[in-house]
Amino acid sequence: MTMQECYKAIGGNYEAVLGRLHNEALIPRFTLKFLEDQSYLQLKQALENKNYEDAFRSAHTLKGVCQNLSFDRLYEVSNELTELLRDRTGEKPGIPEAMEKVTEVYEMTIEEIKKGLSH
Amino acid sequence: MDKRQKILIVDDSKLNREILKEILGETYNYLEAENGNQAIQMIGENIGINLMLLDINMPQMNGFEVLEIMKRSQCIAETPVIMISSEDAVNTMRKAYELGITDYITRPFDSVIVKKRVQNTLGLYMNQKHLINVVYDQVYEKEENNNIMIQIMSNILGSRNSESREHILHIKTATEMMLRQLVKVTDAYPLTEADIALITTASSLHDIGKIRIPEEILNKPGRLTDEEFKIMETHSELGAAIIKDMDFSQGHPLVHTAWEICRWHHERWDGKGYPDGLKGEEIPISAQVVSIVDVYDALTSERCYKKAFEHDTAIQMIMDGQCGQFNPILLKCLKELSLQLSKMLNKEMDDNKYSHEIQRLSNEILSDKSLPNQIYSQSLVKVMQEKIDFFKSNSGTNSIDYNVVSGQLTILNGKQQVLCQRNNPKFDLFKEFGVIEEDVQYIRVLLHQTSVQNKEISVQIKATVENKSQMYKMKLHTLWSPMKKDVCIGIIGYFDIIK
Repeated sequence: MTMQECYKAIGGNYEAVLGRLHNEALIPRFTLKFLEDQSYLQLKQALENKNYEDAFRSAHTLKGVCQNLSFDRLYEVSNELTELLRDRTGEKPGIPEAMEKVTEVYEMTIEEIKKGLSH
Repeated sequence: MDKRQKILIVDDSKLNREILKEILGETYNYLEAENGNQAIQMIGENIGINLMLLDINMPQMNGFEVLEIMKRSQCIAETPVIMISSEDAVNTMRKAYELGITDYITRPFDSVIVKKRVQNTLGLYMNQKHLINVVYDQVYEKEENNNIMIQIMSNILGSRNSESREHILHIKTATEMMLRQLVKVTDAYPLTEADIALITTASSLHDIGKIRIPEEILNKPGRLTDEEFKIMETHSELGAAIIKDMDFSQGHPLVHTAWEICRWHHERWDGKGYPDGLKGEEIPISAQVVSIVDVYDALTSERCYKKAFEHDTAIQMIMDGQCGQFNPILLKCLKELSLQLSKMLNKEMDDNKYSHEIQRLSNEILSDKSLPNQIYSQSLVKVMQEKIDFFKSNSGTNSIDYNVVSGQLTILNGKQQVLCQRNNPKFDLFKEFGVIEEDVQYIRVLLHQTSVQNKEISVQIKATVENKSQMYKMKLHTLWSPMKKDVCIGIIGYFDIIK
């Protein structure tokens, strides 16, 4: 599977990321590093601990990383969650549902990247 | 040594930091910080950071708090900051610019654009620093030449009259100090930096008329007769005449100011001076200032007809009107400068004497934009030295080191083991050591009274250290910003058991 196919599978925008980074070799390198990125795990942990300050920050970081890599699908869901968490109270309705969506897309993304890189 | 420019990347996401490093390439030397606290600490430790890339949302201390600290400590002028964030709300961006950032980049970013913006920012700062250095060199050369000319002149006068050599240099220094103080305490005399420089230079000429006074009167040991005194007094008119007779354009500000000073530096506020008996503000401020510092220096120097008075006595004599009446505002300035003047007598002259002139010229060139302070790093070194000196003389006891800017506090015992370390501003230190509330209040009051002139306080308090509760004597020494007036930047101290 090529990088383009991998992007397609995870709902990313390969043309956009190439257009910004101007270097094909950088894309698989960053994608690989995404596997080590801690922001999703921190987000999950923070929500479990009801630490909404940390939760907002991690969601925000995850969203930023996805923006950089043009992981559009994961960006959309993490952006939604970031906005729900922005007031740092955890009182906005729909947070667990939004988190569920993030988890679903995140797991799928990781899976596909692993598949893509092993080829 | 690595000569590449240093970029500090502050972002809590490792991936984001790596992306930036990849994009910017090997041209630069990178430092990384995961949060604001680390960033502030690194700025404090690595003096030569050329650029900071700063994220907003981070744990412990966010990007805005970092900027606020940098603004307070003035190092934002030294280190340009580019903020990188996915926050694109106008308010957020405006706030960042108001706190002094140079540029704001929103995610997702284009790699070429980020690279260019980083290059441009570094380039601008390099140019600005280069410009300051050019100005510095030129001012230095100009001032050196100026000083050499003045020294030659002082020596010529001094060859006839042994008093003049140092006298002229003292007058020059004290005149500048007084003028600066004057502008600080009142708006009544709107003197620009250029005016101050002009009057200061012209002050060197105040006694040139003495070249035409016969040597036996000039160097007579003991009191002059009335007649001799009359001749001596003509030196002010003679000096003014020398300047007038020269083939200068009399409209030139330096020539005009020098003339005023020569002629009127023996006038007095109440009209009882000479040669014209001018009164109050009829006497130009240039001549007023030179006349009061002239009297001060004459009193504190040894002359062929008298011994030197102590600094305090001299100030008191001037205040009491024993040397004629002076403008009350100048008396006030003189009193406020007392300490600095006494240092001048002991030849502890300011080693950065051209900084004002450099700042003025630089600002003029960059059309009044205030510049990054090239002496910021040097000043930091000075504060470090002050710390080292303090601890050197108080070694072997428990020591305290508190940085007001970063909130970093470290307490060590005599064996250099850490008793307490924190960087949380809300931490209650006194509670930790079991100090009672009354003592805490007392220390607060005393600390509040410290100033640049009066840096140290000593108290006796009861405290619990390493599980032992007993009386301690504690000495605290405040550190002050070398750049900004009345800004405390740190507290160092030690405490020891009362035996």
